[in-house]
Amino acid sequence: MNRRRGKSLIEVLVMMSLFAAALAASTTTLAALFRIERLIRRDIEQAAVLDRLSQRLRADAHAAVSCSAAGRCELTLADGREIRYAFASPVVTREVHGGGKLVHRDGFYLPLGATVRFETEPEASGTLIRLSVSPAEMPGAYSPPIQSATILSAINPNTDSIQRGPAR
Amino acid sequence: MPGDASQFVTCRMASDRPAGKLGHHQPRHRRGMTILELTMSLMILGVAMVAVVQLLAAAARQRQAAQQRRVALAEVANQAERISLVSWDDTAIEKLHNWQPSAALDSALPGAQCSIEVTEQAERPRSRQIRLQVAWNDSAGLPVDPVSLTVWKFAREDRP
Repeated sequence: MNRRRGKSLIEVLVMMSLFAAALAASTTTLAALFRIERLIRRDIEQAAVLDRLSQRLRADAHAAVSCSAAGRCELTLADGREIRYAFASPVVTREVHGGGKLVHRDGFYLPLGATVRFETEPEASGTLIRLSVSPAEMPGAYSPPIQSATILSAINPNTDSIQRGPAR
Repeated sequence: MPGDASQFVTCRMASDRPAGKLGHHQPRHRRGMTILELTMSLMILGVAMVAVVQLLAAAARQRQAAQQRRVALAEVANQAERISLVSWDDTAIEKLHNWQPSAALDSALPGAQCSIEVTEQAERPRSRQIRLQVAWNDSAGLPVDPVSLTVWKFAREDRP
């Protein structure tokens, strides 16, 4: 009767070690799953923000008559209004100034750890604004890599080019 | 018959036992079953884990493919901006053939093929259809659906 009571120590140990192995494996898998989910969500958010920003920037640049990009980007429109793009981590702001006062402001939120640079790039027949998004250098800090991106916008193209077909 | 009698006795004894005592015989069998059951459940868990790991790998591949497509889309859009600065005369078929892929495209899609195709529309308004295309192969070496963007240029005097 004594032998029939409960389970032996060996059985419990084996059971516990198998259970621990199963638990460890599922925890690791779950952690990887959450990490990938977070990365993909951030990628999608970044792509959506950059898409909106590039549409705005290109529309503004095409309508602009002059531009200066030193740290931030200032575009002057034909009607005298000024559009200023500036980056203060993690947001790119777009401000429209007309008649000496602020008329409109937009914000484009990028993932933490991204830096944005505005530069002008002279071409043979005009000027391009180059907006570069790159991961900030943070030594020692762990963060999944930000995806770099570059948006080129033509300043006041000579409007030989009128329309675009759908991108596929 | 003696056999029948012993069977009868056994049945009686079994039926006379309280329910709790009947259970005492069962652990003898279950002692082996515990490990067997656990092993089977672990095997099922292992199969499920293999499936999940494969799903994870597929998700990572999809993420990379999406990123590659995004880089290709950005490349054609940037090239369209460059072309919008070029004058009508410089977009002739024989002049518009150099397209230097950016460093971002080179690193994300090594071996990508960038091509420009210009189609002249002779009738008025005179225009050129400029088709930009980036084609590349996926990690398995199979060609993917290329990304393309079309820009129209109109002669200055024929602009709508």
